[in-house]
Amino acid sequence: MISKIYNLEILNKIKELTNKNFCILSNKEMSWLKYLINTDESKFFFSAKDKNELESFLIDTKAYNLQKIIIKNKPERNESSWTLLMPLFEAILEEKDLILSFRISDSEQFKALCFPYKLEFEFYKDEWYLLWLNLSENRKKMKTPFSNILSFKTVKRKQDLYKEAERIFLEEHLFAKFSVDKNYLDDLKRILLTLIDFNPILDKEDQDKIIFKIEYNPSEEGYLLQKFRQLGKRAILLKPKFLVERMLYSYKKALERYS
Amino acid sequence: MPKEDRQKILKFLKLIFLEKGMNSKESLIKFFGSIGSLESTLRKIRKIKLKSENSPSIGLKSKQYLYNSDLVLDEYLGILISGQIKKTETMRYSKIIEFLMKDNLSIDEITDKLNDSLCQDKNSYIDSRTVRNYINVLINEGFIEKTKDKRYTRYKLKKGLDSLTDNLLIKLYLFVDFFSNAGLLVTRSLIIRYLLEKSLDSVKIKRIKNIICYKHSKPIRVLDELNILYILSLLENKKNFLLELTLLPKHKDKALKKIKVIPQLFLFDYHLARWYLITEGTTKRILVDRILELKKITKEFDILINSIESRLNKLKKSWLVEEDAKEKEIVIEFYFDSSTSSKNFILNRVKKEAKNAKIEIIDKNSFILKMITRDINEIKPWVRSFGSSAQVLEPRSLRDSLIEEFTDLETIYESVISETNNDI
Repeated sequence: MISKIYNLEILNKIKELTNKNFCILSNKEMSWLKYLINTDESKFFFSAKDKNELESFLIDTKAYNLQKIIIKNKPERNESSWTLLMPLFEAILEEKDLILSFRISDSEQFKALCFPYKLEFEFYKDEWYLLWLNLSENRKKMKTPFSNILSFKTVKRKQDLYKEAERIFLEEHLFAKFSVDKNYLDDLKRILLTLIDFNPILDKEDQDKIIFKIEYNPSEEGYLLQKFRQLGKRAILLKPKFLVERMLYSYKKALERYS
Repeated sequence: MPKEDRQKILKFLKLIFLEKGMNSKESLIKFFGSIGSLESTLRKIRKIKLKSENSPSIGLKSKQYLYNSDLVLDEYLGILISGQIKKTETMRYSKIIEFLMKDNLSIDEITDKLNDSLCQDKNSYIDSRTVRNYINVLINEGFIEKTKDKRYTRYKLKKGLDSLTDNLLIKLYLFVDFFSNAGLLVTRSLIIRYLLEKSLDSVKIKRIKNIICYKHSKPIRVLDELNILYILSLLENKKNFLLELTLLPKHKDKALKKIKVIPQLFLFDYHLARWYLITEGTTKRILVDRILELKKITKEFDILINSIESRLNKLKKSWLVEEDAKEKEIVIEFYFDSSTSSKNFILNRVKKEAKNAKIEIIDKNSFILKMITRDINEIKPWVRSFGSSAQVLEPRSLRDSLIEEFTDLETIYESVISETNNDI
């Protein structure tokens, strides 16, 4: 399924002999690329001219036909927000600052001078975010979904704040623990997959339960609690205490609603 | 490395990844058949480490194997491209490509050039028939093509990525990087990305990597991808066929299971980034991450297109994979405290995740969702994930079972807190 030529030893030898990297795509990869450039995402990355150039590169190739796949629970995409992807990427690459108009709610809109730091894609939301420093508010750390960006224009950068942004956005690693009752051993793989973003590792095992340790960043707290609520009795959060209290509060409030 | 070795390494990584730190050598021998087979797999992983900067690192914690990595995709690619190959073959393929980079050549010309540069004596003479075999591999894989040149058949290299402009290559890198991280199937995108990385200036690549990051894309699913690609290639055929699958037990203390099925479709669940194989036979669906080994059995059947279409329609109306349970209407009231936050996050999340539902706004603090689904157990984890922000109104059975669960969970979490207090 993988071409024989795509082997490190051959690729390194070609580089050694010719001083050039081998960069010819096999017909499988050409066919896959042709399939990719016909996906919905393609228009957010390429202009019509780029697409023509790629199409002529792939002219004799038959596109891979990805059939017989059903996709479930893919979040609804905000298509218009994806059009910001390349302009924002180019602004960061060209080291430009931005004057950014964004909203927090339908009625609250702001304009700020922005040092754009990174673009982040959240897989489970199918959504892009701009990570930036708000220069109009004392370099405040900001994370704005593209769907909340109304417009922007680029301005000349006065000061490179990349290192500072790196320091400001650096999050500490926090640890939590959870237990799985052995009655749910058959569900163990699903439980661990649900929490896979937090790297669960076995902490200890006793007769009735298994305890796992996980790590998370403070900005992921909401997502972590959502995953534990999703798992219900299958995984019980044991530490840290303030998150356990939030879990308890959520169940008490839920029962109040139902009563 | 032969394909089976590659599969064994992926199997090993999957086993120790899925049961985070719970697999000792003894428990793994059961899945590998013998200690020899397990140890040779471990040796091969160490060998990859010598060749590739991106190779999986296996840890041991209290005698349990552990694979925890932030670079699963790169390490997977490392496994794919670090296979063993004979030195003579490496040299001959590389030389042929070197010659063709300079000129279009016939088989005889390539043979002469190979013999001039590689053969020290008569015993190591390469004949044109052998060269033709190499050329055929390169033609079949799409790297070279025939060209008619003054009555001779000569061969030339096809256009590579370096024929595209730098500006387009950067965009293509971003595009393929997106599909390497967030695509459903990523293997071929990873290979293209690897070749693009080599074609672009490394400083530029480093800068691009610093600009874009992907979160929570569950790259571990890549360990099943060769199985999926293989079954998909079989599904392209006009005839159906039987597959014998060896399935991992639900937990490591149980035995492996063998079943025979006719594969029909794949289903991908975005919530857990998990693949299901929809089948005909003793079972209707199989989680792909349970497949340890698979074998095609040559028996072939006509494809029943109507049956596939009818299953597709049924699956469209389910929350996940349930096809047979009776359709039910679910009514849920969602709440949002508009005084404490400036945006209705709950409404946004529900609109994004329950695409086929009808939503009726009650006031600025609540709304009602109505949707048709089949098995209520499939939708329960999603409803539960909203905690106190959702209240099921219909059906009664789902409402009652959630009340029962929340009551139990309240007791459990109260005891966790009281135990924590006692610890202090």
